[in-house]
Amino acid sequence: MRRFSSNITDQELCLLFKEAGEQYQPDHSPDEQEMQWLKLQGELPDRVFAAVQNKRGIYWQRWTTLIVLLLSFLFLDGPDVRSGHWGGSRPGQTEVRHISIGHTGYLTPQPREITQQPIDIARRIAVSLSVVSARSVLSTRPPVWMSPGRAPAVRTPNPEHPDTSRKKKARSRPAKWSIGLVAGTEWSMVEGKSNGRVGPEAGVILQYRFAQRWSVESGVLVADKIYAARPEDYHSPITYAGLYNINARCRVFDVPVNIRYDFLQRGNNQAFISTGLSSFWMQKEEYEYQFTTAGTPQKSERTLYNQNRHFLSIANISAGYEHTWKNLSFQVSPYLKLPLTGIGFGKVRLLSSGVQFSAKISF
Amino acid sequence: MEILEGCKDDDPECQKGLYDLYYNYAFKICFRYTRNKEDVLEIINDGYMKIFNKIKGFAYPLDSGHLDAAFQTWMKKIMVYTAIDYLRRKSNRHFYKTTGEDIDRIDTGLLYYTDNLGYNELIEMVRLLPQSYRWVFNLYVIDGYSHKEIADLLKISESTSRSNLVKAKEHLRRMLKKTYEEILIKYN
Repeated sequence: MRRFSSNITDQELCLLFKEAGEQYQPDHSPDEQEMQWLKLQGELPDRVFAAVQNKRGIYWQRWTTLIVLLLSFLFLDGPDVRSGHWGGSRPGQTEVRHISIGHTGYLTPQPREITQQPIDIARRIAVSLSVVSARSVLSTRPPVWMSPGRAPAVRTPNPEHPDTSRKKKARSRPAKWSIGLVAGTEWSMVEGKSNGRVGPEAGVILQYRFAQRWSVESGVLVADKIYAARPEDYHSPITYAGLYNINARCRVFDVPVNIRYDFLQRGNNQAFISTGLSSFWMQKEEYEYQFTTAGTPQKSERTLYNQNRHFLSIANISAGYEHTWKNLSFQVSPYLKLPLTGIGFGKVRLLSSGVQFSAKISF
Repeated sequence: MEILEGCKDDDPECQKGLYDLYYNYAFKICFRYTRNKEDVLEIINDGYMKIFNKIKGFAYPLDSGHLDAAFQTWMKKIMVYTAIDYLRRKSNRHFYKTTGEDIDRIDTGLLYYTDNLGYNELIEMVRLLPQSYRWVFNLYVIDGYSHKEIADLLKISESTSRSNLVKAKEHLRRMLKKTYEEILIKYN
């Protein structure tokens, strides 16, 4: 047992630790030592040249993957948005149709098209995400197709000697900005009526970290909000006598501005809460009105394009968990969106809750 | 010695020889400055790379009996510089990493209790310190740098260095006291 007392003087403390520093024996195995030597040996020749090549490669890689991500999202979403604008309906135009008894279809205007498009987008995003992340994670030098002239000059890293110099260069910049893709599912309902439905959601987010635990986020999300409303929740100038239910499907562009606090940060994992406001742009609103006339159930439809905008009128609350690896991160966050005003043509109190999955790149 | 001569000529066998000869020494230095093993391994290799690069500039001491000590001092300096450089680059990645969380860890008794408060346990205490305190303590108390040298190395002011040292000692005292009390309880 060491000579020891609870009231050790300054000098004794320093001597004790100085002695400890010289005499202690940390654990390390000879195998580890051998492995380290092999690693070092692999790096000794051409190390400067390789470091320069890899540094350039990293910047190339980051920018091209970013561009690929953005392009894939924009082009895949294009057709649907454009048809809303130019494909026969001008902004603000509405369509009303009467459908008689017996028609049991939910909402006729191509329901298949609507459900398929976002799912398609989400699927394609997931595919391009996995391709991109696989590329940036697995490769240790710039992809050949990017630098055909340079490929022969780059020293091929020996698979047995992992290239660590690239890792060091990549870590030297602070991660302030992150950009990423989001996909998720959402359950929408009107306050008071629990008949909500699940719809898809996808988008792009941008995050700026201005302090250790604080960041701001924004982005653009597209969501299909499917819900049903009772007549008393639906406030519109035009109504139907005998109205008993309204089914709605709205394609909404959501631009959130949130502030996020990381209340837990341990190593590569963070847990956070975030809140903020969203602006909704109702790109397409489809309403199916169910009413009875003289005892007979009937349906009527209304579709609106680009008619309602709600600026910073929805409150966002969410919490989540993020895992970081190199300059990528993956996050899961359940959320709630509460309206501060009536949403859409019917000015309904539309609540949405769901879970978002995001993959981000930081730079 | 011959090994050093060989290294000056970039002879790979001599380099391996040097590596093996001083690996333990280098490990002990780097281990004190870091919190996890992965960092130690990276720093050791970085440090050795620098050593092999700069070995041509290493001047032998006049008294050949002091060769080992002289080389160790020279090597230690490079290892310490490398360690600080590496850790500073690493912590920039997590921008404003504070020490608040680290201090909580110490006080909630992450230390495991042992009968024999050996040297390894003491160094574990040093490793548990928050980064800035750990660096200053290591540099001043164990490696013998002056506050002025520390200030230049870490790019802080001398007064910061002094206050960090005081705080480091306070933390270590608290840890020692805690462990000592646990020992007393066991034997009573």
